[in-house]
Amino acid sequence: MEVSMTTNRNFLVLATRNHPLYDTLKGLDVEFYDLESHAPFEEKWSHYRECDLVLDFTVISPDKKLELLKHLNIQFDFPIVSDLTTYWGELFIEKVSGLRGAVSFNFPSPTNCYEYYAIDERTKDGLEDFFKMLNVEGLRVDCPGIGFTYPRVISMIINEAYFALEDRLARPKDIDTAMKFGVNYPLGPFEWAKKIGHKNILCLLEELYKVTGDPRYRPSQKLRLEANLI
Amino acid sequence: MTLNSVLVVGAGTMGRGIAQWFAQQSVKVQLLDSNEATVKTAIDSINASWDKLQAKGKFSEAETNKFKESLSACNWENIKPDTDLVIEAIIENLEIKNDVFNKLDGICNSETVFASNTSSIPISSLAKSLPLERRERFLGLHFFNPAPIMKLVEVIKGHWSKEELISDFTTWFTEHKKEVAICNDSPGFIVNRVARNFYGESLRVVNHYDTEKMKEVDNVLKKCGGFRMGPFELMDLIGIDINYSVTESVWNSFYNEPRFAPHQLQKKMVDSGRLGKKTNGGFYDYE
Repeated sequence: MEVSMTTNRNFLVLATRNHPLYDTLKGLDVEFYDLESHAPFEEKWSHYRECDLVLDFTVISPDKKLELLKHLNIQFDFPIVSDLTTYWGELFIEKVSGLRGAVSFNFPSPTNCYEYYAIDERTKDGLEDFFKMLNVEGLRVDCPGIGFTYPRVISMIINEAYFALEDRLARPKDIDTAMKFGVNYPLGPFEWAKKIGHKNILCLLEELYKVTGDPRYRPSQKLRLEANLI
Repeated sequence: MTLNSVLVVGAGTMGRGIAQWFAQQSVKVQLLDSNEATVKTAIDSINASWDKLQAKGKFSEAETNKFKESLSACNWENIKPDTDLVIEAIIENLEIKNDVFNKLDGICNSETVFASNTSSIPISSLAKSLPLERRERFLGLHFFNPAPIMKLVEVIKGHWSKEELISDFTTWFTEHKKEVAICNDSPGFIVNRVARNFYGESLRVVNHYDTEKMKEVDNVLKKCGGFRMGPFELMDLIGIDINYSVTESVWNSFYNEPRFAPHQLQKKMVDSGRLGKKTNGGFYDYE
């Protein structure tokens, strides 16, 4: 990803290596913390006097994520924004008062445009400057829901493609061809899954299943297999 | 495999498109419909479409004339028995389709391949009442609307379809610049099954009739997902009733599998008669 390196704002960025933007974020003109080499709950960030946004790009279990966000909320008076692509964002926003926004970078977009949520204009303005640094477009939405909209819809399409594979309906390349040339999808579901990462899709489906209790979100065994192979 | 002649049965939207595309491939096309006036209207409309394309410089006058010569109307009395391929594109009704295929079996030579453009009826159910030799030369050829433009053909293997038949048609379509997806005979085939949740999940994100939220979902899926149209505007274009009926059909075929369950909002829209663009109102207003 081509990025614009400078900004007038101060961003504190926390990330884990399994985030797709990890390398890009590390190269930005920001205070960067790799949370795998820094123990997140022991770190003292109180020496940050000036910061516009604290941006969390960790990809960890939902319980740990909530714990981390609560910890950041105690440590900082600055607005916190978290990548909540595979989480129940609506709940996190309710539970953590300092969490002022959410982004959805964990599901790469074929158009480089990402949904985001911002409670207030200060967070929105900060995020828009951050998107400029990243050279991506942001699309403000009304609510992060569970996994925003694009991640949720594409996960269900990909899950169905894996179910179809389980049923021996067709080969992956035929399924990809069918969706690209029959309904003009920009990518076939298997190509898409590769870009997003099977683990991410599985995490989101499991979260949807856990939150809603609806069996429609049951992940395909083949998808589960792919997610566990890597 | 060479295809010199095709009989297209059904002169509705799909039949017209299929007939037009085959004529453009230098294949002699006969177009048949239970209503002779429909065939005439269809041929006039195809000819008008070629004239427009010629005016735009897409085809030369010689090409257009050749296409027009390739396409003719027919009725049950003048079907050419030695036609290489029959493609049925009539109403989605098993009984009516079976009647048509049985009738055609009595007319066409044993070498003629039978195909259906069905999007929801199992190919094997359509072939089962025919003699074994014909069943082996029976397959699904599912085109997408508009057939002359959309590149995909789903080539569907019925229970009795010979492997050689599938590979011959795959090669032929590929040589004629179509993209082929081979699949087994299963409800919705590939596209109508895998695409179900483009609509189904979007309906669950919205959950209620909320125009602002529907606009947001359409916008997100176009801008972030790279889809050409959003699910709600697409359902309005297709017809909410048509989309609901495909969803119900796939859901029923999979023994009410929750992944395919229709959403109550679809049903509400159908019950209220707001079916999309065709009724000047669906998820959005068009008046």
